[in-house]
Amino acid sequence: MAIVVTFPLVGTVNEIIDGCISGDDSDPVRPVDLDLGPVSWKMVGIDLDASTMTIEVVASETVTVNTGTEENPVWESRPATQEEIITILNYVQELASQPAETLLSMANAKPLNIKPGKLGKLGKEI
Amino acid sequence: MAFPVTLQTWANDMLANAVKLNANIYYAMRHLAGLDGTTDFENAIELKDLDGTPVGDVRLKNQQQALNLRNAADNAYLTLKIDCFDTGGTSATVAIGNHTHSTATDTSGSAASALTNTSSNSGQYKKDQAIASGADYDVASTTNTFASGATVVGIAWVWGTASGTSSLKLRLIMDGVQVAESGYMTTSGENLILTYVEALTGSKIVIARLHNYHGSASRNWSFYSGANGDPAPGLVSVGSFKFP
Repeated sequence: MAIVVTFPLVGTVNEIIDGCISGDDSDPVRPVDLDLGPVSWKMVGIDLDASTMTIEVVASETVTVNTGTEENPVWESRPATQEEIITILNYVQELASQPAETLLSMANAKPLNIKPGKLGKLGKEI
Repeated sequence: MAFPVTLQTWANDMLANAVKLNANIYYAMRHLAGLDGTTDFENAIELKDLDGTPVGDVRLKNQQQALNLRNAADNAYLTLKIDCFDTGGTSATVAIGNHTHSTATDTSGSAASALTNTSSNSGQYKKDQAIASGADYDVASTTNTFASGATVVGIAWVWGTASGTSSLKLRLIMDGVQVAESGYMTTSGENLILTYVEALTGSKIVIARLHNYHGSASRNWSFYSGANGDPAPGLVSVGSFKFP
């Protein structure tokens, strides 16, 4: 089960050549640094006008739970149940529905930085 | 029942006008069909969507020597620049008719983690690589030069244990853009693998990077091996192909 969601972009764009974005390796172009939980994701696309990245999110097949006590935790991994997968993805969906300003504030992050004078052909004037 | 017929008496001038009108309609229809010269449209042509749910009418117009089209419900036109297509008869060009498009290998490269273990822990050689709260650690990176428009497959892999739950995740960064992220590295040993495909051109860096999401605590990426100095289990790899 996968969902497709959109998050605001952070990082630094070094240049855009023929519509391809080249970012800064030390501050890569990426979705805002918020922990989405036990999920993995892949990029679907970037919208520079909206400063967003769309990603496809898949819930992890296993979850790690504490089978001990709060004082003496024992962490064990087991397959995630269908209910847990839905809860995990709902959390991501709910997070993505927040305004960009809220998400950037939550991550204490700055909006995407595009270095001036480095923009090439994007397929339209920018 | 007899068909009701009303006889009309035409004056000569009325008859002449009717004949002229008929001729004008005939020539206008031929002109519209492109049979007698060029048909000019001063604004957009709207092509109706004729399927079961006709909501996708398309409008066409010429603006600044380029064909512009848009869905009738959208605000902006998209420009279709025919001269952007590389036309011809080779495998990499746009051509009419059936033909094959072959691909060729471009380049490949890989890099393993340069980290090695340095200590013995009860007979096991173990390395703890600390990653501060909110910080990154580059497992490996590789720099390769790709042909113009090459399609590149990037792979990142790391094995290990995390010193705390719900903290460490693997990231794949291709040309300064994070394109994928794994789930958590667990405390009991975990393979984290990422794969992504995208077009890259020129000299580009691809990085496998661990990120610590914990809000306040440093976390270790730990691994074990059989001897002192063994390398860490982590790598990044790329392979690409292109149209010749």
